[in-house]
Parts: sequence; C-alpha cells; structure tokens
Amino acid sequence: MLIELHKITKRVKNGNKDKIILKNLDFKIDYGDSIAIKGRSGSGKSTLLNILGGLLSFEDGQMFFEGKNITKTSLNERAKYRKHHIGFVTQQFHLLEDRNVFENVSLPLQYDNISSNEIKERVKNVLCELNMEEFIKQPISNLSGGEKQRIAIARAIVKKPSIILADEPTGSLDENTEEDILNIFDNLKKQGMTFVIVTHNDAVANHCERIYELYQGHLKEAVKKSLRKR
Amino acid sequence: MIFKELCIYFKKYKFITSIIYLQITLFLILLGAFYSFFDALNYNEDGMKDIYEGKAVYQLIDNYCEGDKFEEFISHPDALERIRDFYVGLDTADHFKYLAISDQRIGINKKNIPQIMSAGYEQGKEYPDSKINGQTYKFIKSVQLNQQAFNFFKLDVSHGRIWTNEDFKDQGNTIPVLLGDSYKNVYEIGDELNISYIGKEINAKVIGFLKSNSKIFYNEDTEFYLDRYILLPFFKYNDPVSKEDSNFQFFSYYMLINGYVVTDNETPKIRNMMEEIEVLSQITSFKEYSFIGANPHLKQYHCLMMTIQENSKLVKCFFMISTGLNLFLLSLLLYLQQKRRLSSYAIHYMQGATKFSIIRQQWLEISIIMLLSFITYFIILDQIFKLGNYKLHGILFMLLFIMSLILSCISSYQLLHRPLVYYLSNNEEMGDRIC
Repeated sequence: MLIELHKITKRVKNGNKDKIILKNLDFKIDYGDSIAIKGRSGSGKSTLLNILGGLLSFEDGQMFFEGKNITKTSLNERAKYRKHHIGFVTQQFHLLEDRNVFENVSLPLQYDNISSNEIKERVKNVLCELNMEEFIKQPISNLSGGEKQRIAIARAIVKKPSIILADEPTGSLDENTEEDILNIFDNLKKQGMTFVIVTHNDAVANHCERIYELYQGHLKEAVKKSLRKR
Repeated sequence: MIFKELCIYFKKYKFITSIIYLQITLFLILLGAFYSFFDALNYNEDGMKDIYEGKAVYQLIDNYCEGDKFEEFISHPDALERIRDFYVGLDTADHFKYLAISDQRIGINKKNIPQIMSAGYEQGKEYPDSKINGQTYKFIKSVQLNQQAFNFFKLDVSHGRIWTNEDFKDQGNTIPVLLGDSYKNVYEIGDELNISYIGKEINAKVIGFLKSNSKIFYNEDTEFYLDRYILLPFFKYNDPVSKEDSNFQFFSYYMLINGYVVTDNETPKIRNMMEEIEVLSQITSFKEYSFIGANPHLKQYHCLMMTIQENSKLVKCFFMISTGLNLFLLSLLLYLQQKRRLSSYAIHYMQGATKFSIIRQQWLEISIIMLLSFITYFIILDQIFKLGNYKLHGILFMLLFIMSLILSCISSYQLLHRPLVYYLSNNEEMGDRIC
C-alpha cells in the first residue's frame, strides 16, 4: 500500500466553534491507482488532498506511507516527504510568475542535492515529454492557462514522485485544453503513475479508475456517470 | 539555493529594497550623529566641570602698557629682579595656582613646515622669514606654559612622554618641547630643532606629541586647540650672563605675569588670594596689575552651554520621534514586503522547503540590506565625517542584528501561526493574472 489514512479527523476553526471537516476517515491508495474525489464545495476535498500531501496536519487518526507511520513526523521529515514523494498540480497552477519555465520546473530539484547538469537534463526531458521544450526560457507570465498547467504538471513529475495530487487541474481551462491535460494524465497513468484528483467535473473523474465522493467528512465509493456529449 | 534565491529577491524587489536600504542608512546616520552630538556635549561639559568645579579663575594682567609706565619700569636697574620675583611669587604661592600661558610666534630654521603651522595662518597674516646669524627662520605658532598650567589642563601625549618636574628647570640651552598632533608627519621624537625665541637662538628637543584635539582655555577662546602648536615649557631662568640674556629674560617674564589665578570659589579664599598678590606686589615693587573678571571662560562657556542645552531638549524630542517613526516605518515596510511574498513562500513550501529554511531566507534578506546600510553608514560617518567611535559602531551593529531578528520574527509569525497552504489562495504573485 502506498498511502493509508486510518480514522482521520480534521477540525477547522469556524469563528469560536470547531467545524469537523473529516471524521474518522479511512482511505487507501495503492501503487498505480488513479482516484477521483468528488464532493460539494467546502466538503473537505482540498483539505484531504493537503493532508495526503503533508501540507496539513490532523487532530486524530494515523497516516502511513509505504507501511511506515508518518503521523507524527518532524517538520523536516514532512518536508522531505513532500520533496521526494508528492507532486502537486492545482487549479491555479501555483507557479512563480517572476521566473521562467526552467526555473519553475527545476524548483523541486533545487531542494535536492542534484547537480546542475542533471537538473538541466531532467527538466529538458520532462518538457520534451509534454511538448513544451521550446518554452524553456519563456517567462511564466507569457504563457496561456493550458501552457501553465503543462508546466505545473512538468514541475510535479520532474522529481519522479510516488503520487500526483491534483486539485481541480482543469478548473481554469477551456474544453480543448482540458482534453489535452487529461490526455497527459492518461499517458502518465499508462506509465504507472499514481493519482488522486479532486474535481467537480464528471469528465475528469471518469478518467480515473476509482471515484469517491466526500460527504459529511466520510468517503463513499461512487459509480462512474455516463456523460452527455458536451 | 539560498544565494540564488537572494539574487532573485534583490533583482525583483530593487525599488523597495533600495528604499529600505536608504531608510536604514539614514536611520543609522541619524543615530550616529545624535550620539556623537550628545557625547561631545557631555564630554565638553564634564571636561569643563572637571576643571572649574568649585574654583574661581581670575585673569591677571599688568597695567604697564598705559602711557610711559612701561618705559619707566624697564629703565629701573632692578626691573628684571622685580618682574622675576613677582612671577616666582605667583608661581610658588600657597593660596592659589598660577597658570602662565602665552602664545608667541617663534622662528624655526626648517623650510618644509606645512603652512597651517605658520604664525598668523588662521588670521590670514603672513610673517616674512627672518635671518639671524646667517640662518633663515620661518615663523610658526607656539604656546608657552608653566608647569601648573600644563597640569591644570591635564594635557597628555599620544606618543613620547609628557613634561616632568626636571623639564621645568633651566638646564642650559636645550629645552624639551611637545608638539601638537598635526606635527606627527613633520618631526619624530628625539629630533632636535633650532628655534629663535624672543630674539634668542635656542636648541629644542622633541619629547612627545600631544593627543589629537588637545585644548586649553586661553584669551577669548574657550577651546584653544593645540594641534598646530609647538609647546615650550616656561621656567625660572638662571641668572643672566649677558645684557642680551637679561633682555631675553625680562621679556620672557613679562609675558609670564599675564596669566590666570585659580583659587577655590569661596569668598575668604578669594580674598586671601588677592591679599597675597597685593603683598607680593608691594614686596617686589611690581605695582601695576589688575584682575579681569572671574571665570571668564566658564561664563562664556555657560552661556553657550545653556543655549545648547535648551536646544538639546528640542533635539532629544526630535530624536525620539524620528527614531520611533523610523523603527515603525521600517517594521511596517519589511512586514508588508514579507506579507506580499507569503504565497511565493507557500509554493516553495509545497515543493519541499521547510518553514525554517523560509525564515532563514527572510532573515538573510533583511540582514544583507542592514549590513549594506551599516557599511554605508560606517563609510559616511566614520571615514568621511570622522564622527563616532568603535563603541558606537559596535552598539549600532548589535542594534541592527537585534532588529533583524525581531523583524524576522514579526514576519515569521505569519508563517508559523497558520499553515502556509492557506496563503496559496491569496496569491499576489500569480492569482490576479490567472483567475
């Protein structure tokens, strides 16, 4: 098992009151899984994703990564976990606008002791894979939404993570671009990459093998919906 | 990684970084200048108090310059004995101190003396060189002091030695001289000088250099700086051996009896002093003398100090306000600067940075600006304006270090008190243009 959440409870402050976002939640992700998580706004999808990515802590429960309990690891250990195992893709891309494509894609590698030659090689390769090699010196601010999302995906996969956590990866894109991005995810899936995608979009969810719905702090497996042609 | 991030930061935020740099530099210069001002004020006040506290200082002058009195006095066969005995009486009195001070131009047969040492330089006067016994003498500034005056002003040397009791005794033709600080590059200790003093050729030997900015109170000056002067000791001469020597001694003593009388500032002691001088005058038949005011320099100085003290309250007020305002603005600028970068930090955090590495990065950014400011401040204040001292620079460096820690803590508070991931939605660096 790649990641396992066991009876996770997450509360957030809502004024003076605590609001329970996740309640005794169990969740298992195996190697090569592609999982979609759906749910209403505010249901806790992004919170769950952030917990999986080691960005948020939780009050109760346990978290295991490759069988190792990482519930109470230090901040440094958690940073290492994010650095080596997690690739993030988000709706708003979260790229550094003041830097170029190379600097953004190479960012996670900069935190590792990797030689600059190897960094260059790996960034080139990953950009080639996504047909973005000619953009390598372009400033991020010059790119379209779809191009930015490709760069965000390149940044996520350049470090060869164990899992990609994507939060509404096509939420800001038009239909054609969405299709392009989903094709990239499909290709990565074929290569054996593990995914968890948070989405409202049934079309996106249907690209995954398993779909879960987050409702009142619990995860329930859902069935794939057939889609009308848009 | 850290170096690269620092370069990107300074490149991207050139304008705001320059503003912060300028503000810190100005703040340091302001602090340094105020410190130096108050330090100098206290030093002068303390120095003055140290010398004048509980004392009364009277200026003693002879009245022989009126009409034919001088001719009459000098024509008397025992004029030299009278004036010498009067001086010796003053110098050895029990009830008061007698400070004999006289500035006099002297000739020196060395050509490459800097112009600033020339007699009359400050007044724009030029004295032509004179020829004595085939030698050319250039006129330079000198001050003669008796031992009591030298001790009273607590003069000290930076190199060599000060005068001892033996130096104030007539030991033949070589006299030990002290040089002002500006003479350091002209002479060395042990150098022998050939000087012409009141028409007499005298050999002198350099025994020390006065500390920089050494000063005495003399004539109209509350701060009579000695840096450009040669100091000669005043002493009681051996019996004259010739008519020339006799004239030399007479004029030398004549300058000596115009000095300052110092006693405790108590009416009976002042009365005793005046009575003693009157008795001395009667005994030695040196009758034409008078006192000019009490504590002339102190009064003059007090007026100045009172004005400065009054203004210093205003200056202190301005100093406090500007310091507070500067600190507030600086904190606000740095706080806002870091706040707008939280989303960028959050991206780094997502990609594997730790909060500690982000805080360290922030501290380095602040510290480098502060270090550059400190270097600029040091060059301007210490190297150019020659203000402050190493103690002040050390204090300000420590202050900056503490400020950098405090400001980093203020900025870090935002990073520590809530998960960084929350700042991703509030994205200054990318959000507006994307959504």
